[in-house]
Amino acid sequence: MTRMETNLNRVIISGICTSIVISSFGVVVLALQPETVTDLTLVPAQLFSGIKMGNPLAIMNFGIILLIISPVMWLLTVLVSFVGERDRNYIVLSIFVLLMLISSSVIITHL
Amino acid sequence: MDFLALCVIFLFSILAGIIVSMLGIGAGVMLVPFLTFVIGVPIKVAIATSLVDAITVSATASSAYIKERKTNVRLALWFAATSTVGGTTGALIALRMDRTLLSEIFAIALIVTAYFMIMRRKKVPSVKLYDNDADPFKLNSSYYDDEIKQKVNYRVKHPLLGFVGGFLSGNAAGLLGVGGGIVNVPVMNLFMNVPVKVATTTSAFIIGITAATSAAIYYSYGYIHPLLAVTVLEGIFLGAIIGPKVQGRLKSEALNTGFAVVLVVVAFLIVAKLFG
Repeated sequence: MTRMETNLNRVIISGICTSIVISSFGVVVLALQPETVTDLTLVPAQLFSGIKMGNPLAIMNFGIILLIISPVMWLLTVLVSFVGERDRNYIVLSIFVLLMLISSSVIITHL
Repeated sequence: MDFLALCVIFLFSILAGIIVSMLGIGAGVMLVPFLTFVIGVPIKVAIATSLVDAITVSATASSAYIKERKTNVRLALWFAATSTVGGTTGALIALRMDRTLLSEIFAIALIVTAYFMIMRRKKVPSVKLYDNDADPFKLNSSYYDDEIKQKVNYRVKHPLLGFVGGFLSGNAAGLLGVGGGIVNVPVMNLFMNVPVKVATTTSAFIIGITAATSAAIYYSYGYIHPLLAVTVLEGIFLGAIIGPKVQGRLKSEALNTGFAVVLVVVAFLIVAKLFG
């Protein structure tokens, strides 16, 4: 494997494992206190206060959010590798993809 | 949703994870019809759930394929550049669309997917790669093929087609939650001279990036239900670990054909249900 492939592989595995562990922890907490849950998505403010209070729904939501943003980390890793290789074409292409990924999500939530 | 339904969803997700990770397609082609027509989940929630799980399949399968050097990361970026735009557009259209129309489009997408799976894949013969080859974008590469037990070199043609394929596949993902494999794989294989195995593995990587864009939009509209998403996510994760391990040992043509037949049957069941 090239250095980029090794780093990318590590980032992909860390991202998926972290979100699986956190979501699974949410399921365990849910099994211990099932009466607290309605299966709805939370807004960010509810999410962080929910995690502090050990709300299983908030913990599961947090795991899902980590999963959704993990491709941003993949692209950052690829970008750093291309910067290291001084590969201008792919630095530009990676930045473009990264900006599209972030901006489409951010812009759309404000529509 | 009761405990038994969650157990059934979990077991089905393991099976879906195994199959889709082997074929390089999104989990949506299996999950959306199952969740909508068997479990009774609203179609937009089913699409949102399958997008979250498309990221899981993509991550799990990609980590294995990158290790085997089958994924062409540079080529993936050409598709990802426009698939994010397509994913946003598709998700926005789907959120404003009528449930029945969305189901009808989904049934058509299943038949199109089946067609591309049955259609004969182009065999890309191994070529010699030279240092002075004209390859300004460094897309030419090689991989070890487990089926024929030898290294295969390939030269990628027409990289700009990646932008077109990316936009179309992104749209399919955002609109229907089916991932972009139905577009990515034929475009890479038939028009860009990429071997099928590299096309499917590279497509698996692209799907994660595309699905993340659309999933974020569905999340912001409240269509991702955590308990359902996590149940499917964990099943898919287990399945996607098993899938790449058996991919090299199976005859991919037989698997493609068998799965295509299932998709056509599911498409007709959806149409039959819609029209009573």
